[in-house]
Amino acid sequence: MSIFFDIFKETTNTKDGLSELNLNAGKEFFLRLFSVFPVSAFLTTTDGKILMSNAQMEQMFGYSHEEFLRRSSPELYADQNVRKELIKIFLRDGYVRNFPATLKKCSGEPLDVSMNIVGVHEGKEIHLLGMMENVSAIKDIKKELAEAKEKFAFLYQNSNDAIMQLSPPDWQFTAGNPATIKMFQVKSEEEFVSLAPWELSPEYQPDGQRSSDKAKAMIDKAIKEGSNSFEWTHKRYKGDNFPVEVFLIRMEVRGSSFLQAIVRDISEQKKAVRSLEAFIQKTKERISIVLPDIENALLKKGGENQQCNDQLDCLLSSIDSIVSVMEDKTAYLENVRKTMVSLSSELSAEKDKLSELNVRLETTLKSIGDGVFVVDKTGIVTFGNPAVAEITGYDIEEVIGKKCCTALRFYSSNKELEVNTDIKETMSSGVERRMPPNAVLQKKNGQKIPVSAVVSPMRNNVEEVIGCVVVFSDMTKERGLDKAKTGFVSLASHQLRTPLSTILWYIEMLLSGDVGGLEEKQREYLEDIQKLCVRMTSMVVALLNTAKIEMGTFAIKPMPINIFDSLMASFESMRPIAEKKNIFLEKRISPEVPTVAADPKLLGIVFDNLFSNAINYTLNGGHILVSIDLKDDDIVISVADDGIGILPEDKEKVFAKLFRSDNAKETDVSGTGIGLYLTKSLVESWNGSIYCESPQKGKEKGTTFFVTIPISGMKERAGKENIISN
Amino acid sequence: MKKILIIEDEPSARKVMTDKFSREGLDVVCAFNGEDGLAKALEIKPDLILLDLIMPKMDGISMLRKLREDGEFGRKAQVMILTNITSDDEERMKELTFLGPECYLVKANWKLVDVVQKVKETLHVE
Repeated sequence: MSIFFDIFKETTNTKDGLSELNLNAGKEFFLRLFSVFPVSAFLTTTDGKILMSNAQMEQMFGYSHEEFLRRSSPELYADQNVRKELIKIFLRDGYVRNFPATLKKCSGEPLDVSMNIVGVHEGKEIHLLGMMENVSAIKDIKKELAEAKEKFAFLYQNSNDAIMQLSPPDWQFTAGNPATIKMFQVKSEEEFVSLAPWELSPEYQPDGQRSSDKAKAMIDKAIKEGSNSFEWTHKRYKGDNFPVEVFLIRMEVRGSSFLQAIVRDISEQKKAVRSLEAFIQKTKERISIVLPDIENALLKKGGENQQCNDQLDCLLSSIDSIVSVMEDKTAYLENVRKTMVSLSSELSAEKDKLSELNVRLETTLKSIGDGVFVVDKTGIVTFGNPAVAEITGYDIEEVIGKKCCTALRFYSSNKELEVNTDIKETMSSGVERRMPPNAVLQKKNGQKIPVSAVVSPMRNNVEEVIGCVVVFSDMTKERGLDKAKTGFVSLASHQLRTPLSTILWYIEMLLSGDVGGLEEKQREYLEDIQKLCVRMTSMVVALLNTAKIEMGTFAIKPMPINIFDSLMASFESMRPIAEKKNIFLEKRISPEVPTVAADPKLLGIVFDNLFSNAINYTLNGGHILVSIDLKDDDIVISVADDGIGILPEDKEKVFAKLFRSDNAKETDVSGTGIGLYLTKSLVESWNGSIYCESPQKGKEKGTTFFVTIPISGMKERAGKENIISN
Repeated sequence: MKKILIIEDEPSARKVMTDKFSREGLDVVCAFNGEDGLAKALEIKPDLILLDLIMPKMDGISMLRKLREDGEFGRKAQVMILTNITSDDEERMKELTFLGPECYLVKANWKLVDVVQKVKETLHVE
């Protein structure tokens, strides 16, 4: 599936992030490709009218080709909100990839798919090409598999019969359930599988055969005929011999055979049978002694001998009860046999189902583009799908059976040496984790690629974590798209600045008189134009910074900074304007404020903004008070002016993008409305806070802005961009 | 008379710069893109080159890289970057620094008279 998606992406002209296939250029090729897609595909206009559908699509939905062309795509959705969501994502990103959606077949039945959409050009029009995979099948398989697994696990764990596994080539024991451990009186499964079968049997069987020879014969028969049942004598580990009944069944999972043995300890039965036999023998002897006397007595006395009658009755009823007990026991043994047979065939059926479902799941996993692998508690990778090999560049043999960090190395924390942190975390906490957005995977060739990955815990039937499943996908292309977006914003701002700068120079030439004299009014108008252009230039910078902030891509580079120096440097750059307006600056600096780790550029932007606002919105002859204080774990900087103030209802809004309050607009027409939004975003990026008070404490008007920096300083952050300070 | 080469793809920007610099007593030659600029630079060997960055056919950085590789003049030529891309792209700035320009001016932030001043300083002209 992903291959086709990639083909489309490769053969596109990427314009502003939109994927386009030039239909006209390769229409023939496209139509042929379309008809032989191994996935369902259909082409619609932007209104939803269906233009084309392929055979897979028709089969999946149950419509004929003609029926499809008469319909529109909303008819394929049970819930129109799903369709709206898809269109929203397409408009936002220019494509849709692997979106899980539920559509509707012709019969009305729901259909779970993974939806992909790409834009296709035909002349001037854009059509939508939808490609999808049926994931209902996968859902059902997974459900059945989970149920079968649960059932089997329960039987295995809780059966009183010993269930064990022998594997080729030499048919040693490779697994044993709790009942096995108990039966052989070993300490654990580990101990059990470390023993050779001859250590758990006497050298000779009761029939005189050598145990090793007879065992081989029994195994061969089971392999040839599929199963074998027989009596055997085992030996408890470091203990006595005991008799058992054995059912050997041949199992096939993923092309390899192994043997499963169900073993029942019949020592008790044997004992019972022996004591029964002894009792019968004794009774027989008793009867043979007593009976002739009774017969004689009867013949002689003619039947009126009460004592003899009683004795006879007694004997007869004893015989009856013995016979019925014997019958019961035989029936019991017979039932036991039947139960064992049905148990083992049930187990066998479950295991067959499991192996069938496993095969189906594997086939499905093979075609998924995402890498899926399983790590057990010891850190060994027990399963990996082909995509794991494809993405990492390792052969699958280099991954499976080895420690996870040998081949699969995920880096997500900022510490260089910490590998696979999220996998280790989930293994110990049992909580599912999504790796952070900066997660990378190291390929075999050493290259680190950005990935999106989720780690989920796997539990056994007693809720213990026995491993983790990791699903990951290569995000290089998506990140590339992000990069293209930021590149676009930078390019756009360059394109906007170019004519602006030229206009400014032209106005400069006109105002300088180089190209002729000017009337007073002409000069005035030109100066107005100049101011407007300057305003636009600062708007472009603000927009660019906003884009960078929203994409979270700017860097923080802290170094030891004296906050006071930084504040004063910022004010100095505005001194001329402040002096023009006769605004007086007062400072109140607490002496305890230490040097702190801070990014001077970001600080500069924040302070510039606060000062610029204070000066702009304060009338001539006004007053600005700047103070730096220590409060708990923060350094608090405040800039207080006695200017126009902020109305209570605007206090929260001033930090919003492009917001300008009415009283601000009256005072200064040229503000962008972006300054405080930018400032707030920057302050929050270093875990500081910003808030305002208006009117000033103890006064009737004015505004005070507070900004905090944690004493522990700003944390360094890597970023692809730097915020522009001018 | 000192010679300057202005490499700039935007016609109106070329016009206003040529006008101003000529008035200031400098001999001005123009080129419309990196390729044209490189050829003219090697031919005329100007005292100063004003170089834009975003241009068709060959951009400013590529032009400067090729210039520096071309003999004695190329290595020593004085170049001022005059562009509208801001200097916040670290990787680009790193590369540019190695190519040794005299300075990096963002057109939108500089008055033309101040650019003239800078040019005169670099040429040691009054």
